[in-house]
Amino acid sequence: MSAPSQNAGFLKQATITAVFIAVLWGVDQLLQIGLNPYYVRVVVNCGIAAILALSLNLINGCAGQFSLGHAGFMAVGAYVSATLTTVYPAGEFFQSPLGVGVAITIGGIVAALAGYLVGLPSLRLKGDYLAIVTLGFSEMIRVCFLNIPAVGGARGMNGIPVHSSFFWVYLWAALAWVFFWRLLRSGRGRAILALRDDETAAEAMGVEVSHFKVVSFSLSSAFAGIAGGLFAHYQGFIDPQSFDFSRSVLVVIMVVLGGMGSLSGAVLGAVVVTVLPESLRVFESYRLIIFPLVLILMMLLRPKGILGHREIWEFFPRRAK
Amino acid sequence: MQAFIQNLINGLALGGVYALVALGYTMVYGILQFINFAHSEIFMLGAFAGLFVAVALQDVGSTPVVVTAVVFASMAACMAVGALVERLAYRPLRSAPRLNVLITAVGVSLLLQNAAQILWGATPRVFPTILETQPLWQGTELVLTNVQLIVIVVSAVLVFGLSILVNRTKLGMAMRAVSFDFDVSSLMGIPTDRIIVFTFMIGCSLAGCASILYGISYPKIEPMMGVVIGMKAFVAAVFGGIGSLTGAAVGGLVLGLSESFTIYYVSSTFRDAIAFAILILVLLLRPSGLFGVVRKEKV
Amino acid sequence: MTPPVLEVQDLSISFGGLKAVAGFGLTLRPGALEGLIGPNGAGKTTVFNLLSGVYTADSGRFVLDGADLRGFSAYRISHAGIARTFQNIRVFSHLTVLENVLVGFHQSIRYGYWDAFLLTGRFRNDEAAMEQQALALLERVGLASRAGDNARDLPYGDQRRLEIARALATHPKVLLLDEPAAGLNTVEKEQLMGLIAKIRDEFKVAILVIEHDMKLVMGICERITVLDHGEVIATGTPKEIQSNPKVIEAYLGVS
Repeated sequence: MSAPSQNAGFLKQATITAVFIAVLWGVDQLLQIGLNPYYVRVVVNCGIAAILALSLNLINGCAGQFSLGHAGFMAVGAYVSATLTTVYPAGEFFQSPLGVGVAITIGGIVAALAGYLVGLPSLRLKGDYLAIVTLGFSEMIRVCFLNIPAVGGARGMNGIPVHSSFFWVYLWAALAWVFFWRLLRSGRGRAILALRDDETAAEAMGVEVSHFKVVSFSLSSAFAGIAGGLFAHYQGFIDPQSFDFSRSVLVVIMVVLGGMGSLSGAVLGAVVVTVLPESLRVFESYRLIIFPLVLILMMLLRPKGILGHREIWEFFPRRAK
Repeated sequence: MQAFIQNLINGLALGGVYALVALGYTMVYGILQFINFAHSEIFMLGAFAGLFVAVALQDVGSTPVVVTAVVFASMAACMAVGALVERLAYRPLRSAPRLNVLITAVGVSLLLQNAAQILWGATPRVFPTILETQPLWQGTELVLTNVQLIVIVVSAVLVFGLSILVNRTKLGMAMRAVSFDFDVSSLMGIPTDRIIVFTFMIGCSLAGCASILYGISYPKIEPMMGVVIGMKAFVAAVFGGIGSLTGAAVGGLVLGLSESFTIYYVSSTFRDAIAFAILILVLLLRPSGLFGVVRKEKV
Repeated sequence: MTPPVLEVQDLSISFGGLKAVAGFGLTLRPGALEGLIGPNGAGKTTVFNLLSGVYTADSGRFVLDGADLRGFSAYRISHAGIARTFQNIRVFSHLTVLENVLVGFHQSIRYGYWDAFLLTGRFRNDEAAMEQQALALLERVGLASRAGDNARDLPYGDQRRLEIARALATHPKVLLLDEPAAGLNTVEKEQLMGLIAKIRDEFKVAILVIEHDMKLVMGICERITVLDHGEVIATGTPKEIQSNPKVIEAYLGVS
């Protein structure tokens, strides 16, 4: 309960933030000169995946709902922000790094609205049925983009200004981490966790279950949308295929692999799922087989995920409370 | 009017295939309560098995022999893979949380897909013509081909056969018992593990047969072909109320029909969206599908 | 005489044609400690489910401090001041004992999402205050030493007491306890009943308790309502109930 950040005053928080941003910027500069661009790409992809996993963790790990449609929200964020910066650039501003940041934020907000709409069925549906409906929504979102010529249809969108970098991705990832961390350690977060454990009891304790289900969907989607925006402005290119069912499944795998409900687990899962196929490249095409095998073995041997419900540092009991 | 009937026929033929695959999803769900994501890959493997046998038998002239051989080879291959997957991947997880089984299923699905891609390459292959397409009946804007008729008739026969198997035989009774209450049926002396393998094998053999029906109608075979069909079939199963055989059959037909009408009256790019739109509407009105049973939680 | 805090009239519900509860009535005065008994399947828990909003009654009304709550959803009934525990224990198993109680304080939370995100003074003060109150409640039920443990690691009896502490955190006017002593041994039962009586005095809350152990119910309850086949067959003091022929018949099945 008493994470050090909770005792921090605003000044301390501001200092930490400033130092963090400075360090991040410094690392960014170093990466640009020092590291093979291929590795930089993997590292950045890890960051984007981490945002996705952290956000899905709220729905699937914390609120006890089951969403199979995270790629759909990512698509909304990606397309909305890319449309702002590329198709209908509202002036020079949206071409600048700051403007791209604003566009990505707007993408996140629109994705949150979409998440609100998709969250509504969660009030009536449970388990697999909810999973299918979220999958359905995300497929419908994808098909919609497929059918809008202005955003390139099946060919996708080209020439998106490449302004998201290591710096921006990890800044957002850190923001996502702090956001979900603090949310879960507040009364609102406790309500969300309570409804995962026992909906009936949570409602009996005065928790408006329907409100919190929809809220978790919206907040989660917001960050999925931001991840989508970062993705679009890092690749410089998006098409509907980038946001298909398999992407959603991949994010679910990250969350389950890392340990449901654990933030560090989500990040770990994101890193493993992103890096593993890359590190298996030496095995050529066999990596495509090794990756699902690892997944299956993992479920057989460590069914609660790498970390289970716990956070990574809880495995190192160094200071007594 | 003729266009309408044409779409009805196309829809029924497509829906028959969906229904057969959907039955596999629904049977496994009914008995183990999880979505067997690997089922779509079983379908794909069935198509490949059929393809290889068809190629091997190219010189045998007789159509009935070839068709029979192809269908049975495909069904046998699917049954074997289904039983293997159940034994190796799902059985050890019998008491694990359902989410784990679900993820394992996704893993198996990816594994089979990728293995097929390595073995046979990603380029689509043409399914050999084991059955010459001939118009049986022709109007001005309307054709009913022998292939369509066969697809419709075979799916109908299989669906009815399955319903007899499940409702009238001892094996079917055991299957229903296991799906009703796993623990109690095992206490009653039903060999639950064996029943589950049977269920998998029956479901998979239907997928194998469906893959051949699909292959002779749309002769393009590739490792990723299961994904879209599988997704729609399982939408059909959920739509009908997952766990219900009638539901899966009806769901498959509704999906096939709505798709064929969407292609004609709206646009072919929306064909995949329409399935989900209908599904979402139905689930919002009836949260457990058309024929699903609502299970209330005891407080 | 003080006006009743809870007045239940003619509450009925049926499931698929089967009348589970019919014409249930009850009056609770502030600070009352009453029992609800009846043979298995008499509909006792269904009454609790109706009063706590898990089910909505087909007809009748239940008025808490002048407001009819029938048709309200469970969380609004909780806000209005009826709290409950569950027969089949429903603690939040992955949360700590302290967090379980903190969930009970949910409706007392005044800060918003932004306060939580920016760790404003308001957030920290509120959280600290709630934590203190929650610890006090745990102290009251004798679980303070286990505040940091996972709720599912508690033994059975402790989980029942945790449920009581959690229910008290919602600041109830009426507390419904569904078989709080089930599965406890005799000593534990005695202690629990003592605790319930004390809670009634300290928290000024009216308590309605379902319990199977006749001796215990008769020992602490001022009045008892007997339910059989969904209908109230007797109401009165423990003495009156003990000698009521209808009650004896319902329990012994004399035909």
